Amino acid sequence: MVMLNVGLNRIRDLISTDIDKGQLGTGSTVASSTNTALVSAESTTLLALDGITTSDRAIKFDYVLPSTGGTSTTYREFELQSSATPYHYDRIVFTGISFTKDGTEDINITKVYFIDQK
Amino acid sequence: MSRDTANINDQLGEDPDVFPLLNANYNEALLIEEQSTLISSHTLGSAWIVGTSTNAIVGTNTGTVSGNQQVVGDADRILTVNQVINKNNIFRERFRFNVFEDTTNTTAYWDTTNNYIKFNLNQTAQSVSVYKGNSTVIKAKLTVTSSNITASYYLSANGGSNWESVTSGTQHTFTNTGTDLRFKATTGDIYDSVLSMTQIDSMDAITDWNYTPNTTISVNSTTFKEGTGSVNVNKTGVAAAFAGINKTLGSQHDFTGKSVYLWLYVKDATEYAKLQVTGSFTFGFGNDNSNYYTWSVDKADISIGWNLIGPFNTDNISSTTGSPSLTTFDFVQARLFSVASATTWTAGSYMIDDIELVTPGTISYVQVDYV
Repeated sequence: MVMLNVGLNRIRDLISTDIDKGQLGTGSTVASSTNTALVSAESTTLLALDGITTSDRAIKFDYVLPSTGGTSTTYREFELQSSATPYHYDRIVFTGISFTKDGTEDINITKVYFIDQK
Repeated sequence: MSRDTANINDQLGEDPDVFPLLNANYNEALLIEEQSTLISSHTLGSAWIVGTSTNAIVGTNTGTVSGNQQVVGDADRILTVNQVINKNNIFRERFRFNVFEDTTNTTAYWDTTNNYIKFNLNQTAQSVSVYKGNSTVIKAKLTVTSSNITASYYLSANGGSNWESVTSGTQHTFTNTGTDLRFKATTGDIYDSVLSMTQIDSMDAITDWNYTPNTTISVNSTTFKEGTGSVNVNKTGVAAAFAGINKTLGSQHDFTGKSVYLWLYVKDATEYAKLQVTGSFTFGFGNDNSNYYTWSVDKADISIGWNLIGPFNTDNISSTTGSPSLTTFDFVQARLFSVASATTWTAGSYMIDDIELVTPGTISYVQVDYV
């Protein structure tokens, strides 16, 4: 059996249409597949994704926390989610980024998934 | 997704024992590869926003500038990459997007439709940060999947301040360590054997070359780039403002997906001054003098001395005469345009040498493992 690229692209489309929002948080514990959500989500950062772009077996997600949004704090984690239920797809932990609401900078996060067969 | 085991046993022969001839494991697995996450800051620059002297949300973003704010004016915004995070310290580039293309320094074609970088001669593909963070990178291994190319590869651990030559598939220990990892691939000159090439004409002789009125040609066996000579293209008449040559080649070439390069020599500043500013040199390639493509080169792209001119390909055609058929090209034309009809030059002023048909090379996958 072999998975066809058109089948992989169907899976890509299902994922790309399901994920609709991104969210930042302040939790800093190491990311694990057993996590069920952000450790310490900041609700004001739950925003519709700025862009979802597909290419062959790949999806690019663009999230923007505008300078006018969010909460002034140091963000350390990010997730992509399907917001209706919600379903939490992933969690990434990074070195803290200090953010000032109504300051002079947005935070932009770009993330790429690639679907392949082994 | 599924796992099947097949045993096919031979029960023939004198020995009643059976033994497996084939023990195959079929394992189909889907992999959702979490690629890089890029975190950056985007200043508001000098943009102003309706409703407040600082910031204001005035409605749903319509300009896809950022988030849900409506920014009026978008000048001087600066995007600064803070971090690039890769799972297990492995960066993978499959050329689906331009996220990691350094558009300032990349001259090769980062093709997100065909999912590769396409290289002609003397071109560079360079990334922006493929890792950026607090950890110092001391070693890295660049692994490249390529076709029809012998490129030179480099890594920088300090944001491009120092590029260190590396070999694909071999771990490299940095002399200049840092926290901003980037990769670069370059192709060299026509004689560096970096791409597959077919010589269209050596220009060692003037056999079968035709020339237009006001033009004479001769072999220059003193100044040449390749072989035993080049061809002087002399403008000796004053009835027109160009000197031209053309030839029907002895064999046909498939031009599909390929590029042409040639060498053009300009003797000195005095001769250089005789060139028309726009469209100083044109090259034609096609089926005959009624069906061919023309490429135009401006004076600003030509220097005194030898110039490697090209690539000429279907991506950058200046004009089309008739209906060229790509698979049977055997007609070549070159013209030098002067500032005035009265302008003339003699042998040794302008020469053409070594016309080559080049097949571009590609890189379809880049992986950088680092510690």
